[in-house]
Amino acid sequence: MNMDEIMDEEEEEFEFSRNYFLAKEHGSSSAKKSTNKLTDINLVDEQELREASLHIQPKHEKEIACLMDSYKNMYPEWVLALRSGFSLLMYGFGSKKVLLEDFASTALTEYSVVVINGYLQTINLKQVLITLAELLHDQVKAKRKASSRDLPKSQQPSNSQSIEDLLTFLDEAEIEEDGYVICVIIHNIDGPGLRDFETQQYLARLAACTHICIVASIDHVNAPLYWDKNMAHTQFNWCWYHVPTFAPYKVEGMFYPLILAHGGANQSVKTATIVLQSLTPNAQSVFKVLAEHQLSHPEEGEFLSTS
Amino acid sequence: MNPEEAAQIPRRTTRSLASSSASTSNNASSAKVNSLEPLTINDLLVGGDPISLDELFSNFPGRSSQILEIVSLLGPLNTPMLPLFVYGGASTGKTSIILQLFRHLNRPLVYSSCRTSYNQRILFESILNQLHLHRKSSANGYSNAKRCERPSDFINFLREALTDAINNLKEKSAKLISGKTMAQGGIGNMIYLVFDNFQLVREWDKSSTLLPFLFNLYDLLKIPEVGLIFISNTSPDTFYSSNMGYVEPIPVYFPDYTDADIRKILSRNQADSKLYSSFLDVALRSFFRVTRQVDELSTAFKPLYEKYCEPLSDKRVFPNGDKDKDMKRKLFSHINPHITSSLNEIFKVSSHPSVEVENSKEANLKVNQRKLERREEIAKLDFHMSTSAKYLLISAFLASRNPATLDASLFDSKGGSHNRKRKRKPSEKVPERKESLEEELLMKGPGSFPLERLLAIFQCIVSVAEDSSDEDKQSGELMSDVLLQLSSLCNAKFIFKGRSCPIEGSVRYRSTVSEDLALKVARSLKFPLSSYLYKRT
Repeated sequence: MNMDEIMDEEEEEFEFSRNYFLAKEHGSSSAKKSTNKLTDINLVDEQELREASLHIQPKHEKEIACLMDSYKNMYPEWVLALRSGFSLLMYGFGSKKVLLEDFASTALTEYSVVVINGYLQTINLKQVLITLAELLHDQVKAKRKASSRDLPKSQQPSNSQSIEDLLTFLDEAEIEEDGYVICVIIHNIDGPGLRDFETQQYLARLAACTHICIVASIDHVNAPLYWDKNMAHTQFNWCWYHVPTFAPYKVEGMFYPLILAHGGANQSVKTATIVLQSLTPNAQSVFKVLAEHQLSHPEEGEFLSTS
Repeated sequence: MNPEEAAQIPRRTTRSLASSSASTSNNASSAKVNSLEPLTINDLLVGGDPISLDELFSNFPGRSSQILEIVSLLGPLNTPMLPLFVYGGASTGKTSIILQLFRHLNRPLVYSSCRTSYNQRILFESILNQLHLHRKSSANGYSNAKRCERPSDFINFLREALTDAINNLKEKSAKLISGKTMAQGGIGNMIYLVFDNFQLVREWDKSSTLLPFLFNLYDLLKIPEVGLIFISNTSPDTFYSSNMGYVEPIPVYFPDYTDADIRKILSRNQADSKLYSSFLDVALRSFFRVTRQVDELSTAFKPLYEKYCEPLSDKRVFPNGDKDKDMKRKLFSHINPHITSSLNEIFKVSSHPSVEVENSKEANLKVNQRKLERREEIAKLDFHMSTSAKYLLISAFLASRNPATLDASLFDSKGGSHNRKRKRKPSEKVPERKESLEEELLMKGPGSFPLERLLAIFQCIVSVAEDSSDEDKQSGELMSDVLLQLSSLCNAKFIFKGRSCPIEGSVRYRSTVSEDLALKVARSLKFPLSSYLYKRT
């Protein structure tokens, strides 16, 4: 390797940090800031936009189908990893929902499977745990009846039990025989409903239970920020698989508004939320003060401009 | 140990103190063991040459009051006694004094250690073996005299064996009285049972029934010719509280040795007492910080003393007068580096390597000693972190400490565009202004920084480190690994995290590490942290 290539490599490495520093340094200078506004774009009506998106021709269909077939060959490897105690984590460009469900329906037939749609806005984790506990309880009962052993004093999981009790039930070692494994498939474990630190801790404890194994997918770049080393390597025990599918995020994107659409008033709430989230905390508090003032003085400011 | 113990117990004298004079008797007695004659009642004696009380006092400096106390409690020949409870710290001479005392008093003794007899059954059977004068041999298939598991069986067997043995003794003493030889004064009618290392019984399986049983033995047996002695490391109230319903044994406390006593003990049997005392002056001071136990000190001092005497090997005579102090200083400087390494090894049992290995070790030792001395002054990091965690910690510290505008000039290899302008001359500000600026820095606390800035600094630092090191490290850290590391650091409270959702990137972090810790971490990575710190002048 000659010097030029080495220099290029170094520059590539530094690109992220150098760009960041330079950008911050020139932040105050107005030369590079663009003065374009969103209102300069001719926004379309939302309906039109949705119809048009339905008519998008998918490209490279053959290649994508080939790629998906190659993933099918990896199913046995994934099942092996699951049985060895790892949890699968799928990442890559494109929606992995179809892939995971296909995997579950073909390769995981001997286990019970529970699917959590992490891309929903809110997820009630306690309900999920109750479902899992009930499933396990039924399985235990069925096996016990078949082998005609004495039924242990296990109570029916109900809503009154705390999350701790449910987790201990799922983890208990009293049930010695193998085969009581429930697979939990979590689409978008970094979804908006699961971004709470507590929720991730419960999920980690769930993954550490002996009768549960987890298959999950992530889409956000900074998703590992939710887990620390203990959670990732010991409790979850992630095995990372890069599975780009290039499939459109049709289902996951349903809950996010189309920014480029010229929506009515109901859309502006969601877009306003997105815009507010990208502001600095100081600006957010300024808006908050403004909003409180407006709420407490409804008679002022009668007309609302949407521009 | 058990089969040998039954044969050797009558011959056994003291535990090994480095300079104990009683060890000579072991050599004499070991010849007799091989004859494998059947045991007689005389074999219950401690054996060895008789020693006088004065010899006992001189053998155990500083213990004269304890010896006298025990002698008075044991009483003259054939006086019944209450059970004794001898306790004191480790290596205070309890076992050796009891054994030597019985050698002096010449009375039969049944010794059992709760360390070698590590459970109830073995303890009972070993005592019964000794009382029955039973030696395990191939003839009886190395079996014990009686099989005894339960305390109830033990009591019955013990009573039988004791009455037999005591009758035996009475016959013997009757013969002696009728005979002419009264030189030895007889060994009396009493048999003493000694339980050593008694504190270990507390941890046995059935200790809750065993301990009251053993303490009650005196009442249960109702044989006045039996004396019980318990030896333990811990005081009696760790075994029972008062009002337990049995006769409490009389406690005898062995306090730890004073400094003067330790010196006396260690200096016994040394060829050159003056040289040794000057050696002790040097060595004891540092070793007293670690341990005061005589056995540990003696094992540690033996090789150290040889090292100390090395410079003198050509000069046999220890010079007096003015040369005294020079000599002392020379010896001191010779021994000093070895003391610290020896301190570390004090709990190790060192094997004896061959001569060649020792010679090569010495060559290395000198180089290491110098390094060790230099590094001792610099404080070391108390805990262990992975390299990426350390770099992340340093980047967080830098991000908190330096204002964001300086990053480009500090970290960017091309120096940023306004490099020249940013170089500030150290201005001549009034010292008070400097102080107030520093105070301001302290009061404001660490600054906050967003995630991207942290990652940018981290990438710069890591690549700097990779350039400077010679080894081939893999370039490009895994991003997810770094993020996981960040979360772990946050959980360990090295970095504070703001409230909002972290993965959107809007949360700001603060580093909570003090400058000392950051410097320590940087030093362990050989990272020049101080050149990156922003100094407000």
